[in-house]
Amino acid sequence: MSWDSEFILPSGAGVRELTRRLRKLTPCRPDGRRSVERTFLDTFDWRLYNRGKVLEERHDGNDDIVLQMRALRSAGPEVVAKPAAAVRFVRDLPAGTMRRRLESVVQMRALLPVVRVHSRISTLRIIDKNQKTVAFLELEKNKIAAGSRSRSAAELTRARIVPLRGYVKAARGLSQLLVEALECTPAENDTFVAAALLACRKPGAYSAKLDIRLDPDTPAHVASKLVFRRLHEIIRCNENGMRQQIDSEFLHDFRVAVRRTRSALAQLKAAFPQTPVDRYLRDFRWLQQTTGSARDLDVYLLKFADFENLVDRSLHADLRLLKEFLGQQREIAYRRLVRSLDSKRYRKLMNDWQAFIGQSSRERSNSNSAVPAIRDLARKRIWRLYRRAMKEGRRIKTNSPAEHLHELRKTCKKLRYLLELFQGIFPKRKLKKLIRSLRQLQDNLGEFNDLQVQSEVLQSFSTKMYQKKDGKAETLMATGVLVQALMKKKSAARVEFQSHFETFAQPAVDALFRELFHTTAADRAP
Amino acid sequence: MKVLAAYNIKGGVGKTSAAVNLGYLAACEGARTLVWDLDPQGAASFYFRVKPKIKGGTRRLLRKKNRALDVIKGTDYRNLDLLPADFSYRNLELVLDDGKKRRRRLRKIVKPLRNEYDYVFIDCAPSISLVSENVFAVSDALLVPTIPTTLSLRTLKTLLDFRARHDLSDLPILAFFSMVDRRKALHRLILDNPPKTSGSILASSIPYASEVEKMGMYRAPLPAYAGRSRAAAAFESLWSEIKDALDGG
Repeated sequence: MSWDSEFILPSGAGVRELTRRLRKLTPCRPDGRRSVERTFLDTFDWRLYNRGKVLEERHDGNDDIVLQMRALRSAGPEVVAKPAAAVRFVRDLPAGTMRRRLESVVQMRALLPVVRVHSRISTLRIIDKNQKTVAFLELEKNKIAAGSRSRSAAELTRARIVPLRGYVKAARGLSQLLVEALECTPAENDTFVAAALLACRKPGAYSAKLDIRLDPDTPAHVASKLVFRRLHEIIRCNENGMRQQIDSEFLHDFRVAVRRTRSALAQLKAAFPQTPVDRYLRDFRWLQQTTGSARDLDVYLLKFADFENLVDRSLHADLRLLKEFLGQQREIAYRRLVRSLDSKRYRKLMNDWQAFIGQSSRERSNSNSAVPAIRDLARKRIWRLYRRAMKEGRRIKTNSPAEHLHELRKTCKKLRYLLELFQGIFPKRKLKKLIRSLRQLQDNLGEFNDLQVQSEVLQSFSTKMYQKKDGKAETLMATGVLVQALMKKKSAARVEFQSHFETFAQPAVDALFRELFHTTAADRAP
Repeated sequence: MKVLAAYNIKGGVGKTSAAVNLGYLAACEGARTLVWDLDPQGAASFYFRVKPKIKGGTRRLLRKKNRALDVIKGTDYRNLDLLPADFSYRNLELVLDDGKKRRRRLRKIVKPLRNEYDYVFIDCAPSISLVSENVFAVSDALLVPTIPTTLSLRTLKTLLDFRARHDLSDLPILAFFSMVDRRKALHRLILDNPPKTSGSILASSIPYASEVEKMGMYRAPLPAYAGRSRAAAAFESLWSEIKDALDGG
């Protein structure tokens, strides 16, 4: 049976009053009072909250930092760590359970403060007849710290049961007692959520996922504008994080949204007048190019540990200079990127684009009377891209040039975007199946392409370093070894391609594509 | 996770107080700690005011997967839990013998604890038996309290010989002097000139002190009620020496 562990005190009753009344009802003993500064942390895209986790950093009077992670709406820390300093990235944490648990969820994202809370916590021990503690009750008075001022709210004065392992019955009894005898109300929200909302932060608000519900009969230009608006929102949301270089994923989400916008615009241009479409395609291409090198450098740095693992340990020291050089290049690339964001061209693009996708649809549909429903246009485009992918894939033989794989990779990417952008229109399960089979092929193609580009670029970087006298011969050589390892992996990926393509091209997948997207003469008749 | 067994062939040498007090000190440092009371007498459980009883007894604990997690009890101290004793441990020997891999059967109990704890302190019953061999198989080190007397040193020697004979050379034996009474000439003599045949003995020693005996009265770890006593300081110094030995080894 589940029971509530967090309660809001009855109106008018403070912590002291509640303690007084509780002591008459059950044997308990005060166990100290303390002031704690708590900072709740999460990533920009709420990775912890979405997994039902709450992470907080606690400072109590001393300089010690305690990092606690627990499940949402449950008491008691699940994992505790004591880092030496405030933690921004999981990689800064000392090795241990906390790091292991966070690594898979947070990955490369920065942990950002969501809300700061000042808490005064009085603890009561609930004891049994042997004077054994069977549960803790923490009575918290929380204030939201916002700059120099702080705000408190009745909702943030709470009683929290911290159960003790093996004493569930006692905790459940206490929970009942709080509700029935002491008129406490089970809290609807976790303290974290309540505090965040009071600080005007809505947990889970940002996501880079599309999740747009579309009516298949919506005219194509109306539907695609909904998609564009969502993508535009994602683009704008990430600007700030890119400027401040908080972590690598702001730029990544930004670029994905730009690429999706481009791809959708190019595929669905039939729904719009040609002149503005051409201009936006040109501008978005520019935007993607101007942000490209910053992303590439982000990726090299994120992957650097993998790179190191490809060469012998004795060469790691020699690769360090390369890593530093990549870091410097990244700084330069980001400066250029910020200049682009500040440019007139970008500002004008965003303003015009916003106006364009915000235009009321009726006005447009008049000027373009034969706009098809989004379902029909999407089906047509997806089917065409699928056919193209099959054709391009079939012509690839063991000795085909790399460009052929590159072409196929681009086609698959476009296909994938369309499938994802309009997933709301088609049966979810079937679409998922298609996306999964496509993804495996894409992973292989992507790996092949990445390894090709990486080996070329790393080689050129190290040569550049050497010529500029920034590097040592050892670094040049170590990079050479790394490049060789990358090439070897590339060849392996090339060999694997055939089997991945065959999996994608199997009759079952083909039948599904045909079923969902192929328009027969009969479909077109009415 | 490190498993440390407070172990001695002899009884009454300070195993339980070592397991309880060292466990408490580890928990105070923030390490998630479990004390496993494997002695049917249940002294460690008594100190933590927990009933020495496991539902389903030894057999269930050994047979059912992850059973240990269901029967662990929180103590009065943060980060410190207890796997209580059970009277059926007196037959543990027989239960272990009745099955395959008789020397490895405690592993199954320890396995699910790996994700939950940083340290497990096992409070063993005195003997050298199949249970002890099982304890050796799951432990990262043995903590061997040794009274500075001739008989105690003899049993320590027996343990060292046993280790040599049974191919357990990887298992560190961290012996330390316990219940040391400086008023006794023999204690002083042995402490100042520890015999070389007994292997290396840690420098920290636990004094014979009435505060330690009062653990039964307070039913609490010694540092919790007499943090400033000489005996508490001795446990602290012992704990830091044990940690160093574990890091070094």
